[in-house]
Amino acid sequence: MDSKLCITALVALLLSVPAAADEITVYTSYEEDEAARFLELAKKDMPDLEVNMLRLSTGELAARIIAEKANPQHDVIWGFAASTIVTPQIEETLEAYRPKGIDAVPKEFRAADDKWFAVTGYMAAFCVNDERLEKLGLEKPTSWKDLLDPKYKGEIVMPNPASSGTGYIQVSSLLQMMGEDEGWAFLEKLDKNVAQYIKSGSKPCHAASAGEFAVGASYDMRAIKNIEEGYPISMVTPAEGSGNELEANALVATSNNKEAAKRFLDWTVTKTAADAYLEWKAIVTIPGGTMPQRFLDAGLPQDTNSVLHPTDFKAAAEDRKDIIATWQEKFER
Amino acid sequence: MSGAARTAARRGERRSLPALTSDRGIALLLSAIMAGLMLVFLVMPVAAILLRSLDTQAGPGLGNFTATFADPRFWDLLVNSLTVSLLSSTLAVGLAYLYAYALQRSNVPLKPLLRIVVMMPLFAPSLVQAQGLLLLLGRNGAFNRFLGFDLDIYGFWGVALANTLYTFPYAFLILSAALAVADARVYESATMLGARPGRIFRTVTLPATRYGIAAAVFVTFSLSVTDFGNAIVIGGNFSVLATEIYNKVIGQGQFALGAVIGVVLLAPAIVSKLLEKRISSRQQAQMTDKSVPLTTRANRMRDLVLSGYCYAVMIVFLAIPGIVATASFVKLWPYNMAFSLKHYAFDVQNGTEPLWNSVYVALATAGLGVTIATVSAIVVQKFRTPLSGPLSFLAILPSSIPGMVLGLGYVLAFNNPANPLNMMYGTLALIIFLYVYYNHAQAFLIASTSLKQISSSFDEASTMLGGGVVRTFFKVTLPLLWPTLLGVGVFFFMRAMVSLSAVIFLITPETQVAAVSVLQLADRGAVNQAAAFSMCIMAIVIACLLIVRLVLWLAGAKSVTLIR
Amino acid sequence: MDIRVTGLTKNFGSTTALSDVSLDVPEGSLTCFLGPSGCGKTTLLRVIAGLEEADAGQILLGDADLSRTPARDRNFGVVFQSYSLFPNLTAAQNVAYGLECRRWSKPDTRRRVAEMLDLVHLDDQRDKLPAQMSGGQQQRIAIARALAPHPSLLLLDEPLSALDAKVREELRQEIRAIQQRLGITTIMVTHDQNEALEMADQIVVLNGGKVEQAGSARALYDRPRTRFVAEFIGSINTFTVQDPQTDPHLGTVRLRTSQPLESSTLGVRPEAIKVLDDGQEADNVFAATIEKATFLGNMTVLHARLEAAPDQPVVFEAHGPADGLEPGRKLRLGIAAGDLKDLA
Repeated sequence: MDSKLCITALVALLLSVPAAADEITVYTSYEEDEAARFLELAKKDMPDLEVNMLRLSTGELAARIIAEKANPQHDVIWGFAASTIVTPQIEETLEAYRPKGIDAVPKEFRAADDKWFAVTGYMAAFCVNDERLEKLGLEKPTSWKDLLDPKYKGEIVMPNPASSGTGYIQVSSLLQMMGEDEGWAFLEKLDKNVAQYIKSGSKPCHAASAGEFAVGASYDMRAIKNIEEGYPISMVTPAEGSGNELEANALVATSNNKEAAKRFLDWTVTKTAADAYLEWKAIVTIPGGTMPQRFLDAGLPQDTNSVLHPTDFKAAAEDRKDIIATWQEKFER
Repeated sequence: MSGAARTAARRGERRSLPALTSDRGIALLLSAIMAGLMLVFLVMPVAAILLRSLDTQAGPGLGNFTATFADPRFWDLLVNSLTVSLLSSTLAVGLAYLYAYALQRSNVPLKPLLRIVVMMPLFAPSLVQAQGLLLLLGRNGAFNRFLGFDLDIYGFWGVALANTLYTFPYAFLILSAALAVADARVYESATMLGARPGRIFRTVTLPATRYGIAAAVFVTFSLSVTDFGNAIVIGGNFSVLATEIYNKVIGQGQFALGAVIGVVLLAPAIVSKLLEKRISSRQQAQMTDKSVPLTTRANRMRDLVLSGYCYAVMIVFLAIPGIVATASFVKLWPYNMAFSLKHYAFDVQNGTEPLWNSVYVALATAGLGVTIATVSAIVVQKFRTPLSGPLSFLAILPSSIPGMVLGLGYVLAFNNPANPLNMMYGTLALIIFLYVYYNHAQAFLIASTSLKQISSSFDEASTMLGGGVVRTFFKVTLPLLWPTLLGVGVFFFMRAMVSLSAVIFLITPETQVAAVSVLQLADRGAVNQAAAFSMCIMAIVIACLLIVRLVLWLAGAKSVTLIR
Repeated sequence: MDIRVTGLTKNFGSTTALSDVSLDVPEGSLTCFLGPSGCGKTTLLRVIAGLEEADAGQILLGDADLSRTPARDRNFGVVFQSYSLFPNLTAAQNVAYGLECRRWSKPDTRRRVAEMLDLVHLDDQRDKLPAQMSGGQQQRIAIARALAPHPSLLLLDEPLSALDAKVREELRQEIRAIQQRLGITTIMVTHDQNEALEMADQIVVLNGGKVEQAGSARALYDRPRTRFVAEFIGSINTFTVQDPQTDPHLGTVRLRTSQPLESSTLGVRPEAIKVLDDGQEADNVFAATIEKATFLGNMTVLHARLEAAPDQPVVFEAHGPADGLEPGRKLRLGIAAGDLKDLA
């Protein structure tokens, strides 16, 4: 560890003065490493802005925002599932805002009332551990349907849709493409092969990467990053079409420091930010960028739309509460 | 008022000093401050839980309880919690009893090493046990991968085992103390009456240590039942009440559920408090200063068997941190075992800040904790004010409140705009106070015991020579007491570095601490980074122990206990 | 059966606790091991009990060698100084303990426990825990517990020293009475000479891990073989004699003894020194001057200086107030030949 850093940190702690003028609290569901990189860049552009960030999974953050409604602690919601931000109890807490340069973001990725806008997104993907498959003598699954094969019994881990946004898009996309009845019946069959439902959307991929399980239902970027790390896994986008989600940013109406909050939101649609998204995200709504080679190497097509399930975001948002309730009743142990 | 105090008070009047500078005034003032702090940081949070649990949308009532109890999931989780905690508690106490017995009652070689190794779980957050177990016994853990086993540790047994390892040192410390005292004559009487070793153990050793066993069972059970770190890491689909609180209260802000479970978890605490009174009054009759200490006799067979047991246990306790350290130092566990420091880069949210937050919090907790515990002890032991009675009760109350429940109380009490101290919410200061009061009971008891041992005759002598209360404390009591107080400080420091369940509710983006970082990293599946973070915590705690040991050694105070 | 101990030696590290100790304890007798602290008396008792293992020597019960028998199989009863009752068991349960170890039947155990509690007059305390009883009661229970399994030997390790004087006095007589009634061979360790004199059939005086002398109280008092024994049991004046074997004299006075002397140390009990009236004679007569008189009520202790040997003060006693024997008074003291004890 850098000892100079430690000393600085300690001194800073000891001397820390109460809230600097431009200090905001941001709630996010971006992955830690993504968020850390984006914040680093934001700080470079706005050195005087102090950003405190709380990172929680989608479901948890939603519950937290609702629970704190009487006394909100945050100024900005950042990188948060669009299907969840439209929950009335959350939407109520937001204030319409059109950041400078918002026109770079196509209309379909913005709320009609300007209460939120989405610059990035993610999609469901399987992390498949090749080493473990070989050891067990299994073939690589290519679709959700493949996972019903009893050979995979106990070798599949999935995120819990109640807490994980990734988990929710997996479930909701299956229900959308198969219809309610068939969809739930499919999930029930799948449940027989699932070893664990995990709170986080990235942990299933980590678990598969560590070789604890053969298949981890997760999302695109986690798979790409773990492949880069050197884990013996490959990414599979399910043949049925990949469930996907937009990550929305919004201004909180109760913010005590709206000017600073707005500055931050403005930054999220700048060119610097957009370039960073391209490095870290497979789905970027600001047009004009090209996908890095490493994403392609990991198995993504140049045009992500070709593997996406055409998600009805509105339905996904409206049905969220019911779907999660049904899921918990059926599968939560 | 004692005669000495009266003399002092009269002297104060004669010099016609303002009331507050007289000893009586100081006594009252300090008592009031201590009582005030306890009210705010101990009574109010507990009260907040009780009130919140009765606060429903339809007004005060038992609605939250009926709603929670009507949910079959609650009962499933309760049963899970009870069974897994009972099992791990039984295992921990059973294994620790034999281990403590071997160290206190036999001639096992390398006792200091055996003693320190099983303390390892105290130096890191609880979930390190589960991390290590997974790396060892997971589906792709070292045993399965490299030794060809086919184990699946996820679930009930994983949690039970992890909690057994986590609570073992707590049980060991209690049982070791219980087994350390014994009157040889009772043992010799039994031998002379024809009892064989088995009967002696059953009729003498066991009854003499039954209160220690009861205390150990309670402590380990309470730790297990409120620990969610291990359950989250290794539980798989096996959920317990603590994980439910973690997920539903921290994740989703369901405070009513949290308050109800908090009250449920307080119940055993109250029962134990009532039992403790009986226990402590009966325990006194066990030993007197006329007792003859038991000496260990040579018995090669016994020593051989117990050595085998102890070394086996030691290997387990070395293997857990050992494998976590290994995972933190290799490029890509378990595929690429080349040495690498990349997991120590901490390129995650807030980087290493939580670690330094923790060091700062732990140091502040040690300083504040020692001060508060010492002043409380003095107020209760030395000053006879009307507040002494209630204070002495409150001072030891935290020992029976699970950390998680107290932490929940802090959120409910302080994250409330109606509370004038609301501004403390979201600050490290509140976390420091939580740690201080969570660990207050033990520190208070240590300080009280030391005060009783050393100072009554000294401060009478000092008072007779004209020294006031304050002067006596700084000139006489403190110079005699400081090694013990330093030990208490270490105790606070260690607990503040590793406690997880107490602070989990108070964590905000600005007040992240290291133990919570480990949990979040592990929760996300960042195994190697979580391991590296755990290693940093362990390194800091061990460094602190070594530094303080060195200071004490240089000062010639070698007998101070640092690990409690 | 007699207990015979031969050649017992016991070392703790470099210190010798027992050095070649041999003695006999006759069947049915009460033998006291007497000596100052550190003399080895407790170690000797513990070796006999089997709680310590001797480095050399034998312990025989009748003809059986017990040296290698573990303590629990020796069937000896033992009572320690205090606090040796099982704190978690009631009085009756304590007494029953040894019987349970021997797998007595329930009714037999019950009968025996009642009998034992009756013996020590504590039948009304049977359900009390030790902490609820007085020290004296606890020791009675300890005795009952030790006696219950019909031990072949009863060992008492300073059983009375933790009690206050009055209770100690009572229990002394009671222990002796029980011992005589049951006729049980008993060894008691004590540092209190009065206790030994009052209770013992045989006293074994130990010093520095060796047996100084063994015998009845009377024999030890009358015929102490060493200065240590003479001084430990009762009080005695000691004199250094010149030329003991050829021409024994003390200062300028020739000594008349009943037997030829061997050593140069001579002892005389205070009560053997008589104040001679004018004209009265004795085997040995010394002119002396009173130096100090201490009135103690029933007697007066007198310190005097002998003219024959002014460097060797002498202490003796007179009944009652001893009028006229004030300091400075010159007088004649007489000692019978038989009262001069030759001490090694």
